[in-house]
Amino acid sequence: MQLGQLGVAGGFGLLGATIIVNTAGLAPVAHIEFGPALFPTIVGWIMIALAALAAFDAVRSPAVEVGASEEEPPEPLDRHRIILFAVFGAAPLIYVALAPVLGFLLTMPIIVGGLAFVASGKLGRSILLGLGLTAFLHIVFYQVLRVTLPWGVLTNYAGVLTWR
Amino acid sequence: MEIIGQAFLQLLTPQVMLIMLGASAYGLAMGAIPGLSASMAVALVIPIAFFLDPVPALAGVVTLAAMAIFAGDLPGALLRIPGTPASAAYVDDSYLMVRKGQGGLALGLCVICSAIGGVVGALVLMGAAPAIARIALQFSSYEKFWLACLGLTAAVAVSGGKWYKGGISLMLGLAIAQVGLDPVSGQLRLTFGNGNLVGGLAFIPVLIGMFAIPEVLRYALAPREIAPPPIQALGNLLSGVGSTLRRLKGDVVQGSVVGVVIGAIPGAGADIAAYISYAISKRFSKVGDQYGKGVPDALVAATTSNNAAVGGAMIPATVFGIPGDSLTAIIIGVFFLKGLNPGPTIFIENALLINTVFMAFLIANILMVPLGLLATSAFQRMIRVPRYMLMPAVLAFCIIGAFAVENTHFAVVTMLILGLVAFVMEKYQYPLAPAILGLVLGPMLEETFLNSLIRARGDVFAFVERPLSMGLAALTLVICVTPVVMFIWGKARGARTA
Repeated sequence: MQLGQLGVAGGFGLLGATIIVNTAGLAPVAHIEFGPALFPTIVGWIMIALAALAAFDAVRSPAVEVGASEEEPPEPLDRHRIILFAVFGAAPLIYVALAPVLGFLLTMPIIVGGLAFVASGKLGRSILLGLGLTAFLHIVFYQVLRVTLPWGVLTNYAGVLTWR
Repeated sequence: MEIIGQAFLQLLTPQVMLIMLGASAYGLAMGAIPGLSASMAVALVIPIAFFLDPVPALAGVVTLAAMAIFAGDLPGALLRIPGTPASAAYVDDSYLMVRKGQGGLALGLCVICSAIGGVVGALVLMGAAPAIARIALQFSSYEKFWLACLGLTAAVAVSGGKWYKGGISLMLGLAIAQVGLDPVSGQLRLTFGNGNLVGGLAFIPVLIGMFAIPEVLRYALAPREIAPPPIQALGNLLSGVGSTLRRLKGDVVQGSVVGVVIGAIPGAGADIAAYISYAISKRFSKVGDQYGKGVPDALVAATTSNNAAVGGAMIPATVFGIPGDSLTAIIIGVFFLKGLNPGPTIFIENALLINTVFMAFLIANILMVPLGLLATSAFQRMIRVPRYMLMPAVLAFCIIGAFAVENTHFAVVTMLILGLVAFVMEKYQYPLAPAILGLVLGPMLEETFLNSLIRARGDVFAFVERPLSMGLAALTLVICVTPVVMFIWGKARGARTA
């Protein structure tokens, strides 16, 4: 039995069921025989059926997942990789939490520089990358494309730090 | 012809030319960096395209796509790591040629053959698409429904691996497309009371999440740096290319034809076209056992084919709104973002714009020769960018790209969640391309399905009453049923053997 495959198949089966349950309560439309739930219900049932097939195959397959992923490291995960995976995965959430408070210009160097430092341990290059990339992104998105980026604590200095 | 001239003039503005040059440089760089696919390169740049006018945005995106597919050849030749999956078929051959001291010829052939394939693809696209569109104008909602079904089932069939995993991926894409307002009654569905989901899941964060985040997370789990080879003098890249191409002109023709045809089949992209061309070329090669051991014969057809496939894939994408592969699905997404609905009517309502896009694609493939030749030596330095600097930069682009379009932090969270889903899917061999096609085609499929049902007053046989719709339905059914029958037959045979 391949537990990982079984878990993923189960997740998709659950998603199919969620689609059916969530759309079952949609009110029918006058003069149209087919309610708005018809198409989502079809999608949900097909997903459940295919997930059941995937689960069936996972149960019958040997436990060793042959060819799971060629790029997967053959050696067991060490502490550094787990930390790296966690910080890369959490970085978007850190941006969401910090950007409204610190603003883009302070948050992005922390994230980019921090990630590069955790990955390489090279402080100088990480700081340079964080600052350089933030400046580049700010110029492209804020100054050229006119995207509204959060200023946070730097709001009072927005006029000084921009040319538009 | 008049409209072609007008289309050409549209591209001659400084803004468009600058954007095409920038997109070329970006596409060449991204395609040349191992592990960054052409799809990911396009997905990351969509937030910028979002803020541009339609002509520069679309011209830039098609230019970028053409360049990125070609540039995938470069790390293949220098590192034996294909820059994009489309270059994987002949990576050993180009690498062996470099090791033998024929690096200049190998890369020269890659540049010229890619440009030839791309130009052929673009010319076929410019000629065939409007003609097919005239026929497609006669299609009713039944034919459109079956065409969408055909595109989606073909995408699952050729996605590789286990067919039901492709099916699940497709259903996921359709499910994502359903979030938000129901198109018939306007009721909210799959929003779970979250106001951010009323307008549906934003296309760009989903795309960025599914194509870029898994790559970043994979790096985090295996943060190995690729050891760069010593920088070597490649010599004159065009030396020997002419005589080789004269000798292998049959392979050039074969690669172009196979690329356009395979590219036009929904789901079969540039990578499959390259593999098929490689196999055909090997079958008819005159070098016998030497094929696959670093001879130019193994390079020409496949590298021509993968670039021709990009043009081929644009035919069903623009005429029917059915993308040929995930890369074209993203390009079609840009069409929608710019308020254009791909389909036969685009050749009437936006004839100038669509011809401008085709013309940009043609020019991009011509530009590939000088830019590719100029930039090839620079790539030897480009591939030395350490991944510990590259991956945080990619993630920063993802975050700001997702945020910029929606201007909400919810889009960043959406990107992360879909990225994690895609990461798990790829880890367990679920293909991503069907999900993207489902996401793009979902609204069209649902709309044509419901419209057809309403029109037929519930009579499902009306779906197959017209000869063309019956033919498309039969083809869809064959594609659907074949893997199921093969699966059951395989299991039964396995049980008998045991």
